[in-house]
Amino acid sequence: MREKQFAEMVFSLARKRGFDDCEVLIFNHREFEVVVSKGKIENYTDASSKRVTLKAVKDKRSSFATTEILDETSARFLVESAYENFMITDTLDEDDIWAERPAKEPFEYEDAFERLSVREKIELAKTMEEKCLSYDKRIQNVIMSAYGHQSSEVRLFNTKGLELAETFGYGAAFVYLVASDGKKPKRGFRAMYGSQPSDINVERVALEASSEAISQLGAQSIRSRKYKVLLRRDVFAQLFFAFSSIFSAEAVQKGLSPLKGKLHQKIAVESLNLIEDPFFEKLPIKRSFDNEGVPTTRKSFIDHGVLTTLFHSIKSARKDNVKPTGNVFNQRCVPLNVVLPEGSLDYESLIESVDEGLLVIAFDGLHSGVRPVSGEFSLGANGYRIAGGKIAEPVEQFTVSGNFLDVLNKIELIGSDCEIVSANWFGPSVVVSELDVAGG
Amino acid sequence: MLEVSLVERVINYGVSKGAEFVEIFVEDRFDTRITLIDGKIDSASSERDFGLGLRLFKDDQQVYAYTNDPTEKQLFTMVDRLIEVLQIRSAEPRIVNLTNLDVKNSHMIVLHPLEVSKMEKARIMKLAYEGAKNYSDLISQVVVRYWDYDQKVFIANSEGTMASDRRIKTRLMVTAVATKDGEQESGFYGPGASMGLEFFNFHDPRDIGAEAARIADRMVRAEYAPAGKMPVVIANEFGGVIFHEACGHALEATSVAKGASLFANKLNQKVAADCVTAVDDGTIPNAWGSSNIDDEGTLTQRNVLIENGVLKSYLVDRFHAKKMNTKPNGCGRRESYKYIPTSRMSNTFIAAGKYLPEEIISATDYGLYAKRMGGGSVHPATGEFNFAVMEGYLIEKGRIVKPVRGATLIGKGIDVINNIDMVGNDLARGQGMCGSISGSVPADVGQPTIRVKELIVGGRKR
Repeated sequence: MREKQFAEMVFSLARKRGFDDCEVLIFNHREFEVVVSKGKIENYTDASSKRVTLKAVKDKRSSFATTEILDETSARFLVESAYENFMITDTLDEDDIWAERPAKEPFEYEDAFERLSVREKIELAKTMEEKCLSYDKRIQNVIMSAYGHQSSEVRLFNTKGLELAETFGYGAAFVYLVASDGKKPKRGFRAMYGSQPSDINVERVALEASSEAISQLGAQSIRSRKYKVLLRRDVFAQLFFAFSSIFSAEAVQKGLSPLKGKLHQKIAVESLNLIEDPFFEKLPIKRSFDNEGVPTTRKSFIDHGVLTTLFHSIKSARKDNVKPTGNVFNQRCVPLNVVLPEGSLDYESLIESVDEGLLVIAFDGLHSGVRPVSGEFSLGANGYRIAGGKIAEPVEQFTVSGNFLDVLNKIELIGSDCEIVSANWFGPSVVVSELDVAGG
Repeated sequence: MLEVSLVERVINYGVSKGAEFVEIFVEDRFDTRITLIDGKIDSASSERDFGLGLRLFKDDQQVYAYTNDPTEKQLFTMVDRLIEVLQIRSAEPRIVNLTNLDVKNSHMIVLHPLEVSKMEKARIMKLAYEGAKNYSDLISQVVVRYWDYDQKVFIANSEGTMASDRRIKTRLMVTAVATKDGEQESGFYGPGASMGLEFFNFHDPRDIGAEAARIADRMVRAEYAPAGKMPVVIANEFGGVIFHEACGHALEATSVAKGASLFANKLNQKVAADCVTAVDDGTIPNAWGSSNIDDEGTLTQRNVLIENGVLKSYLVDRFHAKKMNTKPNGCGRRESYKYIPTSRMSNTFIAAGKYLPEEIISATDYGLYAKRMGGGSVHPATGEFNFAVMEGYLIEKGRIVKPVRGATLIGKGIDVINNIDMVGNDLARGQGMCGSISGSVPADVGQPTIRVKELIVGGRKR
């Protein structure tokens, strides 16, 4: 069944069921990934799938249902399930269906990775593995050498006459490996993201993952105390995303975020600017509207240390009497792309600025060692000790603890080593004046 | 879900093209998720997933494709594309006839979730809310999440096996937030089972809410945990996450087969302290991590992993079984048809020992008592693991003296299981979601109270 025809069938059933308005959101997803190990294809996935979500509103209350099949039975399932869900929903928070067309033209993503043949992509993954193994004989095991890409077409139809469509996607390569000197194995990881194959330099991925693992060999434990900490760009991004839910207005309204009462106040050092930019040229994913059909916008949500806005869905915006910010993705209200503008010092100068401290290159347990309601975290980490402005030796088996809002206030220096470190973060490394470290 | 004759044709087509192994996995699944915030049902959603995954092996290589439009034409095209990737040029003729695997259902369901009204589910959630809210004046917010699902799977492969299973799970998860002097802390409790709504005949929703609130209430009054190496007593039930992270993942064939595990090539060797016996058992009636068959159509079984400190077995899926020259033992799992299955844990626990939990604490001069654990993660190749302590206390001179918060425990797998020096007699299991390359799957972790001689506690106080 054609998508628009399906949406119209759902609308007609929903009207009969007594819903005031509704919206059908359809994702057509394409996924390709090849994982190579020891020169052989260990995992290979080539797939496409569909996902349809109904948001139905009655008496300003919304309810949801999702299916993966487009037929009349599914249309009935969506409407009947949404109706049952409506019957139990008793929140006083009002929701709505969006009517305004975005001013910006929808983005079109042409998946350039599809132009590479399957064989070429397999070869790229194999090349990466070979480059790692030939980098140093102590590279013992390339656990995964992967190359992949995904793209989605999103289509939105609603009873307020809005009909939108756009495509987005990205490609990525990553390597996860282990080096060993016969005593203790150490790991290396590197991923690279882009919107076309030329953005992804597999040789560099291999080189950086390999050199990281080798340089970690012989890692020592460290003493528990406070240290000045240089958070490498990817590590700072990971820490931010572990706490990104605290910027959701709904979390603040419900008392689930430490940012309650902090809007328009200084929450970070003056030198810190964080920009949510759904159109940022260098990042692969671009969106002109969010999953509620609301136009996305570029905004400095932390501007010279001041929290200027929270991320609003239609529902949370109504409650605060503001405009929704176009940040609803995957049923959460989160930033799509985050940009931390560069500071003045390059990476080497950041290291030189630290007389005695730690360089953190990996955090573990980011899903469990963080408490979004309080901002507290305690995370396993790996890195190097810095002494006299130079990297002294690799260190392991330590934890870094603190409070995320405290970290934002203790950023001393922001680097100029900006890079795309995940599909949705572009930024540099930062020096944090003091964090609690526990070691052996 | 799909005509058997079509499945047979597709498998035979793959075999005729030269695949060593062809597997079809079909899934039809309904999920219900309801969220209650601040005493009100905030959102409710229903979901139906339907799709098919096709997997082929040849010469130690594995390829996969999935679709939610499994027409005959689409399936044959998928086979052709995967054969092309494997670069298979020749085939020996062979005909596969499918026969049904006899699968007995060990997980009886009484109140089927799809037959219970959402009103009733909402009522249960409100009881949990009351249990949490009424626990203490410090409770400032309560979030209750209800989740059930009904997953039907059908698996057929070129070995001629055809098997079906239906997995029904119900879970209630409560997060309570306590606020005191401007500071907030949260507590979480989320039991579940392979049951329908009869689950709540065994677990009063008010008690589930109260437990989450109790943790938040204790922790908001707590000071920061100490930092550094010290003995750690880990309580029973969800405390078993330590074995799950520190050892369980490293015993999965996914890591072992490629030598990316510290337990590789150590079968029948001493790897842990004598007091450690650990089991993974996917057959436990109505347990959260159980199923009758795994997602590769193998009957689940009880696998003794470590017996009195000696490594007895790995967790082995089909693809890696061949590489390891052994048989799959019923642990090939996947989140959905969108994932390639691999070896995973189901219900994993350390077996009961001889000590009373109180004896373990009184035998500890100084250390941390981890009463409730949060989640964790591990790098099987290096053994480095971490997990969060959700509710902790300081032990001094054999007594629990005060609550402490904010600690993560880290260490290396082999060190930890060698450093377990006391095992209690109070075995219990807790429920969680385990994430790995084949997605997120329900898993029980479990243990009696244990003591680890030395672990790094990632607190703040020196």
